[in-house]
Amino acid sequence: MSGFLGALAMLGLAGALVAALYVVHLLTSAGTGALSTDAFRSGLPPQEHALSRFHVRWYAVSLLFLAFDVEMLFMYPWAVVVAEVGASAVAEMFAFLGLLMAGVGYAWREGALRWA
Amino acid sequence: MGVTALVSRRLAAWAARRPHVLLAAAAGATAERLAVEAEVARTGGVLAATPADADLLVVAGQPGPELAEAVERVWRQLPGPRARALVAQPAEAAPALRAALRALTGPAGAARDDGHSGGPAQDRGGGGHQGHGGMRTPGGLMMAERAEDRDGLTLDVLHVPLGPVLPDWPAGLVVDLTLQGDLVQSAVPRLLPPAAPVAEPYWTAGGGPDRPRRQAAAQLDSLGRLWAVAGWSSGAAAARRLRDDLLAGAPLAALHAPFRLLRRRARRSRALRWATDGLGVLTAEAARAAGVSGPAGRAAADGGDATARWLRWLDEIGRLLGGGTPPEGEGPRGRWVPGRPPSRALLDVAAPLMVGLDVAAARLVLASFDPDPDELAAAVPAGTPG
Repeated sequence: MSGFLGALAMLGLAGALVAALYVVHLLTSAGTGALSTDAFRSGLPPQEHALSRFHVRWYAVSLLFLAFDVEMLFMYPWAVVVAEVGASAVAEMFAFLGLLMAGVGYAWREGALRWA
Repeated sequence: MGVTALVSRRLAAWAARRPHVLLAAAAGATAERLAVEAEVARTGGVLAATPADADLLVVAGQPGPELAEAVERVWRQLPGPRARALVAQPAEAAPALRAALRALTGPAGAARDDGHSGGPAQDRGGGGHQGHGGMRTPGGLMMAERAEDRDGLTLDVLHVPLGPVLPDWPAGLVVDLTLQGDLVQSAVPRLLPPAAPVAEPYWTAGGGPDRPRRQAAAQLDSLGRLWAVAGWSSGAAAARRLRDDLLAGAPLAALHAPFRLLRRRARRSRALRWATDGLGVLTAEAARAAGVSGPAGRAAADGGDATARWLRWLDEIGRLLGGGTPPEGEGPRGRWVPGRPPSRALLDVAAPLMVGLDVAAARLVLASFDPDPDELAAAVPAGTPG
């Protein structure tokens, strides 16, 4: 029963905090609704909607990111067993990282990160 | 509500001790702009970068119709509490700012301007709220059209203006950029003319013994703008302090030490060189063909990039502070050919050099040439197309 009591107390506390936020907003806010305004374009009106397609170069960047992201995926199980397996696991992982870095070096040389 | 009003007033008073000022200057209002900048620095304020960051909107000079419209649009984007001031004469800067600050805190008996309550400005020229195929578009704006870019990719074409209400930007100048994927595909400059034609550009006015001083101050002003755009705000602030001291008539000998310190810091800054190296290269032949004289023309001989131009500015300021005189018949931007001020040539070479760069680099290129809108506005009545 005491377990339920604790949960209820926590629920009551959370509810009171949220209610207090509403009261503070009611007392102090300058306006009731959200303020909306135009985008700042140095004083001239915008001509297109801000939503637009990404430059194709971002996809090269996202592929580079994915390479490292997946590499991290491999490192989690590796980190669990590296202490038991020892030096050979470290050597293997760094060989794998080296291969990935070679890929990044290749993309760099080919100009995938060059913008203008 | 008594407590709320008190808290609100206290907060406003606290915020007004460090007002953020958005400065919108018209072409030909250099003296007014300098007076406002000095006054803002004196009262402990800061110059804001955007209306969202600003408490005060200060208009320097007499804006023409299009600039006045832009100022109104920016005013609608200022959140409250807010106030605005018009500075039409340099001497009005201090009283106008004081009055605006009082309005900001809501003086006794007067209502404070807490801004509008919602709704984006409805000034898009009857664009309507119906998009393609009867689909509603947010805010009545269309999605961008697509076109081939220089690499043969089909990308969105965005039209982004730089100016006229933009910090560290030539007053009243607008460069209409066409962007595709962050890269500038075209840059078309135009000047929003002031309400009255400029009689004489501030930096070349007042000849005689004050000429070297005025010229050095003009180049310090340019340096401050370029370094602020490059993100070196402490260097920009130091350059502007030197500029204000020069114009206030401080003895030249007293300025040598701070200038040498600033020059050493600038020359040794590797980050600054990374930001400006190789940008906007103007070859000596191109400079001659376009009629670019002055520091930018001379910098074409030693590399012609943005770094060469600010190094040249530093050299010439050093020479002027050391008692040198500027070449005869030459202003801070170069030599006047009848009907064609040197800033016109600078703008004509700067705009094509912005193409192919990203927006930040394009701004740096323009700042490294720093055409003076006063000269452009003064030239308009002389028969040069604006």
